[in-house]
Amino acid sequence: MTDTGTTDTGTTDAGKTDTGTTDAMVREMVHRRQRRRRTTVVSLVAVVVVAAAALVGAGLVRATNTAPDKAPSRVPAGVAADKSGVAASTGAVRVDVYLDYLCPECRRTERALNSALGSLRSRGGVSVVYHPVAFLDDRSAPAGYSTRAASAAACAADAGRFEQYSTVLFAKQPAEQGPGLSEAQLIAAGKEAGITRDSFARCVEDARFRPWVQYVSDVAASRKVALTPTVTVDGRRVDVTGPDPGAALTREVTEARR
Amino acid sequence: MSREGQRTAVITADAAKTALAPPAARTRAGLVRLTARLTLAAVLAYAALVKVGDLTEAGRTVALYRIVPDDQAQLIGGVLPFVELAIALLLAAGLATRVAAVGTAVLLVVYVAAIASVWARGMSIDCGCFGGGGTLSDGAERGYAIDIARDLVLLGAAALLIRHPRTPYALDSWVLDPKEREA
Repeated sequence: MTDTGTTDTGTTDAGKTDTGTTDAMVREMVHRRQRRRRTTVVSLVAVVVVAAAALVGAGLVRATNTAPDKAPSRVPAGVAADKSGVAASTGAVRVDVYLDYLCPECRRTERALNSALGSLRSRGGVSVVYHPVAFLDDRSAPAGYSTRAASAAACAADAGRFEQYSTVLFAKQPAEQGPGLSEAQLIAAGKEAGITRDSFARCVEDARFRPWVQYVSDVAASRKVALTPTVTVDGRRVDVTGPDPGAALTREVTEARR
Repeated sequence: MSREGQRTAVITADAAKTALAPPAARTRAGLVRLTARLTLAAVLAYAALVKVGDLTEAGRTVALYRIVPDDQAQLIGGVLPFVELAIALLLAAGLATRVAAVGTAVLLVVYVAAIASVWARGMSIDCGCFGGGGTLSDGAERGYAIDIARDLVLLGAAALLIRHPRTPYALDSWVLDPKEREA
């Protein structure tokens, strides 16, 4: 598998008169055969090494993708039965919305889906569960805005105003790679969302639902949700990247109702 | 000495010259190949090391391309950094250079195809080639063009090594030609 072309020039008509040359040729042939064998062995070893590295990666993914820990003891009010999200309504058809407050696409989707979700829920029979995950923690500087925003949203859920607070947070969505909203801004957003009780500010300051946000993220990951926004209807994914996510969702829910 | 014999002598001398030729390090072509090998090793190692710390994130970046389902994306995202690292180590050592260069070329072709695919579908993402990765509000197209151009340059380096895998300071020459060393 390597350059040998330079050494075999004109050996066909040479070597018959000189035994020394014949020896050299034989040696050369043996040498080349050995070399070919070694090249094959080394190449095979290399392939095995790369394959082993791939297996290590696959093993690590499998190891990190095991079932999440038990749900934390402190979960916000209005949490779904499996504690992996905030239930906004109850019904036979389950709609799961996975969102990250730093994800620009989530902001667009939230706006596009709001009216569709509203009309679906007004007809009843739909259970909507929001999963505020923290996937994009390393896309703010300092890192961790996703977690801070999601745990503030959990405080809002505790105060019964999760959806309103979500809307405010998306309206005020900071740019990626920036510091994100400050604690004071997250608290002020609560007032805009109509949260009046003082305990909300304390809840945000203490980051009381941080472990719960971690749990929500882990559960989402274990359900093979890697991206936000992800919307599922009875576990089936709805493509919300199209031009009209609301219509796509309505179609899926109508289908599921049958 | 017959004419035939003279010719043989010349050929033998030629063969000897080839065997005792100055190591490739001293030739310009050898230097170019060495540069190609080390550059690929460095780029792959860097790309692998920034991703290997957070495999979940790496999987998410693969999912962002929306080419494979999310669960497979997690697996691919976890496997890729380790494959990159293994190939980088082979290239850095100069061991099985041709196989390593073929592996590099395959990776690069896949990357270029993936970036071209998101570009064609009008999506705006960061390629996540060296970690990070995410949706972009603007400047995505320029990013795609730069990423593809860079990958094509690297692909050229890989092609050079596939054609001429012998480079100076490579373990290959140590492992494959013990006789030549003795000579």
